[in-house]
Amino acid sequence: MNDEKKDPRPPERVITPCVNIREGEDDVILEAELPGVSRDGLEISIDGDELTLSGKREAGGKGMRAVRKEITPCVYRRSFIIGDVIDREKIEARLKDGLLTLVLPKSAETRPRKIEIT
Amino acid sequence: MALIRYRHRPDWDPFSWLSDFRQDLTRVFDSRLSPWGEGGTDLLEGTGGPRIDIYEDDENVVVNADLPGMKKEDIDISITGDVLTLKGEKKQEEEVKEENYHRIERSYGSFQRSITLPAPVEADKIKATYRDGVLEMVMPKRPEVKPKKIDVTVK
Repeated sequence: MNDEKKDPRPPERVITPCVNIREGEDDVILEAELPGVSRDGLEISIDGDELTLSGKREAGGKGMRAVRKEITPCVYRRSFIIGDVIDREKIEARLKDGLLTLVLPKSAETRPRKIEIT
Repeated sequence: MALIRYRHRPDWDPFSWLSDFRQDLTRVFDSRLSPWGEGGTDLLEGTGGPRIDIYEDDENVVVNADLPGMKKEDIDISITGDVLTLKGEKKQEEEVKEENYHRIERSYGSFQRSITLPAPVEADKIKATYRDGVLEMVMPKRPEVKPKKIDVTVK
């Protein structure tokens, strides 16, 4: 039957995670809440000037009857435009307790420099 | 149906405005709009507490709660009868000046949510773990409410 070739899973639900973005002298810091996402489920990629984070969370309560469901198994996905200010080679990512922290260092040329007055 | 507030964002280029607009449209159909911001995936409007799932089988009741980026010591779990109460405070990690923020969507502050369990559980055997920002509580059902197999003898 044709049905065997079709993927039986419904299309993935994509949810936009909430983020904080703050800028310091040396870097831009982005925090994204990704509850239920582990290291294996997280993907961060840069395409041109667009940075995309994508975290997959599986359904809970396997093998049990659901009494109440407010949490949706989904992919948390969000994209951001990164300017030339950011040194892409030095971007760091930390995932702890469902919170992703991305540290985007500013390239040396764009950091504030003190100019000595002689 | 909740109305979407359109926010003017002068520092975003047209390309990203378009992609955010598309996401805003998706949110028309996402009934879980949070009063604190666009995202708000963890705090549920109206209850002031985390999103939860409740599961059960013959042996246990399991409650999962979305509480990303918290410290274990800031979460309080208590149970009275068949009502489970989650309390806590989501604190900001460090003192950061507001003017340095481009965007604040994460919500902070105290929360409290009481959940009526589908069956009475043994309070002293509750196991709670916090992993990937999800608080999972596995609670064994009291023996008297577990299903018992009754043998039928045929005479």
